[in-house]
Amino acid sequence: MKSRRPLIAAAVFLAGGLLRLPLEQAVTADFRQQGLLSPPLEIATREKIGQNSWAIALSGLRTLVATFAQLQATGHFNKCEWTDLEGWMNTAVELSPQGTYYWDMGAWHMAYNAAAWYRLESDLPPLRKQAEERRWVEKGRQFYIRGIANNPGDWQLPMLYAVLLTDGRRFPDDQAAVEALRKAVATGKAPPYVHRQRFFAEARAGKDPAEMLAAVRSLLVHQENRVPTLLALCYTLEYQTNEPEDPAALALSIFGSEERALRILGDYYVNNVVDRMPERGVETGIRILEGRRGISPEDPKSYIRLKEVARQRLTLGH
Amino acid sequence: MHRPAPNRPLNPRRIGVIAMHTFTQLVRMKVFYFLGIFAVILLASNLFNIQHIDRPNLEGMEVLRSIRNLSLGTMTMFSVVIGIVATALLIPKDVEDRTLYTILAKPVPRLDYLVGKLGGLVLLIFTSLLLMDLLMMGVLTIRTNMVLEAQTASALRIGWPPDQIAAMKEETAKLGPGWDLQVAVLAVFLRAVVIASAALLLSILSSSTLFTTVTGFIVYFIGNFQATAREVYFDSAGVSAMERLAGLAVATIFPDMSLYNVIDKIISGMEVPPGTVATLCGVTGFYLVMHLFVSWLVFSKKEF
Repeated sequence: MKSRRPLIAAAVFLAGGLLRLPLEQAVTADFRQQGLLSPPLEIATREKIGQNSWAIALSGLRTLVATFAQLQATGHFNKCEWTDLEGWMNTAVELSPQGTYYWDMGAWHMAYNAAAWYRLESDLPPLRKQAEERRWVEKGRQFYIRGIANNPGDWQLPMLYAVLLTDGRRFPDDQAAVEALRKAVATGKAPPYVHRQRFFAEARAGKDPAEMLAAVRSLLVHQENRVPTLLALCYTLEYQTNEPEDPAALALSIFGSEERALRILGDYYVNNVVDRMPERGVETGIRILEGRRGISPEDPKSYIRLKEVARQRLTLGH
Repeated sequence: MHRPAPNRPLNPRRIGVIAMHTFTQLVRMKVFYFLGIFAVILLASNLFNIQHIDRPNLEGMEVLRSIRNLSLGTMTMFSVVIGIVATALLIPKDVEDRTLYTILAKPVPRLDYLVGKLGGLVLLIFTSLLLMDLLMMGVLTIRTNMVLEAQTASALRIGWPPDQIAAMKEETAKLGPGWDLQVAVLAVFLRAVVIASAALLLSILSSSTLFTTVTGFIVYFIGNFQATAREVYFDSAGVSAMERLAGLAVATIFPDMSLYNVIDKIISGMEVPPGTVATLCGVTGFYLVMHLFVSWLVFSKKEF
């Protein structure tokens, strides 16, 4: 009788194993569908992180290994070794594809840091510099695109991607920025400033000013949206749709005081060297408002002068 | 008239006594020393702070992420190591100390002995994780407040509007202390319970501590490939009969450890629905009962 016990035990164990087989298969499929479990690692990643780390990564420590991969990437960032950085950031996102931080960090390193390094620091001939800069901006964009595809419900990545697409120093693509921001808003989780960003992107992309103005007015009804850029956009759209006889009066009606109008319109005008927002009537308004305060366009305090300086700096690549 | 309690198995009081004895026995083996190592790792994770990056939303984020990753990673490692090594030691140590004979000579059902032993070990893992959890939450709370302050200052300097700052703070707070981390710690605990019960079964089959330890770790690692093995079995396209059979064998014998990898997603900031937690508890319960029952089948007639 005694010898039967191990056999019964083995039979129970195997029966239990067979019983849980379809159940666990269903649970795994369900968890993967919910995005709670990552798909199996790609072979290339296995090779990259080495056999030991791979075993660890498969043993419930994927995000831990991803952290170390990102730290490796940071090491390469410090030494401006951009190709190595790209490799490690790819490893980090493969290990933790739902880690939006890694996608953002990787894209930021490539599109901003690497691209700027090639533009400003590299010893390459001018044409090669420009080509490399463009290549790294494109790499950053592709990184964001992959991140967005891996995190469909996330509003941050499309928003950050749109910020990159809008950047005047990084080969802007306004239509793509509008699409990205629409995607961010469509998640239903985006905070109000992302809705505003979408309007700004549409304004840059040349959407009908009358339509834009109606939308901006509806946004300005809410107190939290009465931010300087939206007020300035409202001013220029009003100017475009119905050119006023007295721009200062228009500015006063929108901004509340001439002093505030000059400050907001001035900042908008200077920042527009990079921001590329519509600005019809802005310069006229500034000239009138500055004239009333006795500031000449050549005065170092004048926003007209400050814009010139900003433009020169941008041309010089600072 | 007072009557002696019948010698029925699964007596909670009896199991409690054995469990508490096992817990004390393990504590005396100074297993809590690893908490010091954990504290050092936790403090070291605070140092992963890359230079100023001029992006408020990235300011200090890698520190919070590394605290979460390193803490939960270390908890996973320690709980699995304790689950395997301590279980491998339990019964051989009782045999060596002759405690086992004293216990089994009394009217203690062998099932109660096994449940009590495993219970003590589970209690040790639970206590260890609780202490590590408290440490992690403490460090994370302090650090999150520091990061939020730095981010806000940076955003104000650049001139972000209040709603943008509020949205950034909300996103950052998700990486701070929260219930999601408690779910992750629970998943770490459940995984340790499964591997401990599997190690108990192995230690019943073999009286060698070394064998149980080595095999326990093999079971743990192969358990992480279980989903792949199952796919080989179910998705037969391009797979030979031999490979399918091997897939079936692995999927039937080894516990599926990959299910608990939902921890990775929690660390990334993903919310886990209550149903998932219930599923994990259910799966763990199934393994626990099955491993205990099979262990008892072998142990009940085993001679020492």
